[in-house]
Amino acid sequence: MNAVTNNHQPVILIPDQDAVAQPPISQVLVAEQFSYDNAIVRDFAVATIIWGIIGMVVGLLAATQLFAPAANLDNQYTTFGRIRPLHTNAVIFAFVGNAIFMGVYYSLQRLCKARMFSDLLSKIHFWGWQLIIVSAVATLPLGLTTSKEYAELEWPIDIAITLIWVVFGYNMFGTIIKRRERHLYVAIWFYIATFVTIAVLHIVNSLAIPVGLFKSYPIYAGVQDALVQWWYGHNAVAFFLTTPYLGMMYYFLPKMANRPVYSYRLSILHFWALIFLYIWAGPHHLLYTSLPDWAQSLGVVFSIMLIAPSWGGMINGLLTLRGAWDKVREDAILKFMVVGLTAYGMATFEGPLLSLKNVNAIAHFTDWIVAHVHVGALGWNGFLSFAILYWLLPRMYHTPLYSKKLLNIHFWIGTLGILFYAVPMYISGFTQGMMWKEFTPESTLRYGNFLETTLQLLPMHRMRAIGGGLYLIGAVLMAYNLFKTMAAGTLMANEPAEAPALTTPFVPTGGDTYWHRWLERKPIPLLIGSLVVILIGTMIEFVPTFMVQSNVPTIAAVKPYTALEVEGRDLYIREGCVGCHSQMVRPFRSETERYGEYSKAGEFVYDHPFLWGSKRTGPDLHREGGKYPDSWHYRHMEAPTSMSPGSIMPPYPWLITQTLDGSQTTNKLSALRKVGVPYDDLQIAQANADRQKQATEISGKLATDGINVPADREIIALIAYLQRLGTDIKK
Amino acid sequence: MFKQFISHIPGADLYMVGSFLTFFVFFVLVGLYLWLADKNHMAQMSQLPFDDSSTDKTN
Repeated sequence: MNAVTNNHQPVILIPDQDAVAQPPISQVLVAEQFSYDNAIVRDFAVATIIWGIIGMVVGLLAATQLFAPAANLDNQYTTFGRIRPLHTNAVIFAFVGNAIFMGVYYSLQRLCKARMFSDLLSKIHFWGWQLIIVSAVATLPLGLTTSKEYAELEWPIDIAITLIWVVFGYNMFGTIIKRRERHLYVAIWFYIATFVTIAVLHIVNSLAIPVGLFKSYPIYAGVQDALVQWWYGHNAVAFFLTTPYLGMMYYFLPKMANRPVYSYRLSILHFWALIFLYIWAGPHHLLYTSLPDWAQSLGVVFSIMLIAPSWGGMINGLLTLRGAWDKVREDAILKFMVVGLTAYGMATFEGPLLSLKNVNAIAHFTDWIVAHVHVGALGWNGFLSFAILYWLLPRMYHTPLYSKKLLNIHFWIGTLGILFYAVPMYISGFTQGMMWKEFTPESTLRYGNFLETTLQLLPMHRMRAIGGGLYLIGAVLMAYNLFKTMAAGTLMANEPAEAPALTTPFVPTGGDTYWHRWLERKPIPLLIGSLVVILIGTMIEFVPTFMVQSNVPTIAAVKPYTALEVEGRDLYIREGCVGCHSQMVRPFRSETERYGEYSKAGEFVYDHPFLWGSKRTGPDLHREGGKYPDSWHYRHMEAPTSMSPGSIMPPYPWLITQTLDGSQTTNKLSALRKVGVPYDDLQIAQANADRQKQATEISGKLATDGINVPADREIIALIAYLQRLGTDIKK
Repeated sequence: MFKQFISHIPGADLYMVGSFLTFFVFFVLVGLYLWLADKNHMAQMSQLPFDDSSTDKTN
């Protein structure tokens, strides 16, 4: 494009003949003056830094609790069960979420050659998102949780997320529609797929019946709830932690390295193959569980295939740096990108590996999964976010970075942090998985006491905390470095730009008539195309599991929970027990020997939500019912080490002092009936009386063991639930 | 394996093959498009991040 003059407005531009093949009508284009909104990018950048550090501090606290129970701080709001979801939500939605919006708002404006559609919507998006995060920080420590991983927030916050997500989408599509660049660069495709898929995932997984303002029951139960949850969980990783970052990689890496992406063709193949395949792979989180076998196999097959597009993307990124490795040696920002991409490659190689059933049999429920997740989170998401922050802020503030030395230190301390985190966790996971399965020559479990396996891992957990600590120190150094940079410069809040408006109507000629070229110009059909692609896998997995009765065979002996057990189950959810205890005995001899009969799909038909868990820091509890007397549970909850010397489980004394809030019991049973639990009118009418009757019985039994506790205490309800677990099929 | 799940839904094998074929056809179509795609157009597209139209020359 050659500017004839830039002294007067409008600027007349004459397009290069070889650059744009347009009809004669558009030979002379009028350049429009506009500006890019850097203030909103800055806001999201600052939020990324602050929430990142908060999320990591909470993660370090949770990691410490696993070898030093005193770090639970002796109060109910800071126990591991409540802190762990706070950590995951903070790093996923607060740190990564803000980093995504930072990257999207910066790159989208420039790729569209247009300011964001609405400054007001940008602000509503920013402040709305921060408010959602603050709501999470306020509610999760209070035990207000759905217990579904990475979807723990209760229904009013879920609605707020939906509304703010729509604001983001509206603002994004508004910008795309008023763009001054005909073609949509591949980064924008990734952003569009992110928007549409997260919307579908969030809405489908959050469907629930409310009971009051802070409690709800999902409409799905047991196996179906598990399938929906891990369809969501897996694809939240795909479309929140991966696709937006791939979009950012395709924009920022070429900018940082000052060379175009290695293969634009490969980026298109990468895009379509990735979004198509990812959606199918959710069931690999449920191997050897009660999920129908065919669904598990489908998950495995597509997980293996997923390695191809994932590595295609990684290779495309790394090869973009071909001939620029001398720059990588000099530039720590590119080093962050290279390590980030390598971590992505490792995590996406390991993911399919973990989905092989024989590997999964050892790795599932262990620290191996924690290591896998953190290679992705710390390496891929963390390092890419850091690189983009370091690249963006000095540019927007028109000043060089405050300290390159600190930047280098951050890179090395961060990399060391990842190694110190991941290596011990791999060793820990493998050790744990093998110990659970080891038999003596006499055919008994070598480590029959689960606690032995937990205590074996404590040195690894200490080293993991050191790794996390190093990573956190790096992030603090970055915050200092970047805030000093911002203080030294001045934000160019409105960066001036000029570009000609798109000519209308556009008459495609030559190659522009191809169908895909058409799609590359049209955001809405691209959105619909992405939606169709992700819905194919979703429907094929969901429809039979929901519609075909034989997938979840019912068991006549399995009955709905009593009113007291429902309350106890809600306490189990409130305390986040599912963070450390699974409720899924897999069909291995090592598990049936340890826990009892393997879990059957029909046993969970009244479980709203399912509580299978994904990690065993403590033993599985699905066959816990009737294993110990009520008094054992009472004493164990009061002081775990009194029953299990050396236990790292925190004590729960407040369950003994706090009175059970039974004001919602009737409503809870009514809500559960609405989602399919067959309570009759009498059971609902007598819910409170039934609850009190059963509580009095348990209180009486405890009294015979010398424990005097009123029947209205929370511990009574929890004991009722624990004693019910997995007992129906024994009847 | 669970006995109850071995008797999977009728036509599950067909399901697997159908799922794979769906992806395969989709993949081949995208692959064909890319194979036939104009090299110059691809080169132009890959240059898009470098033309941000900013008139701020202080950077």
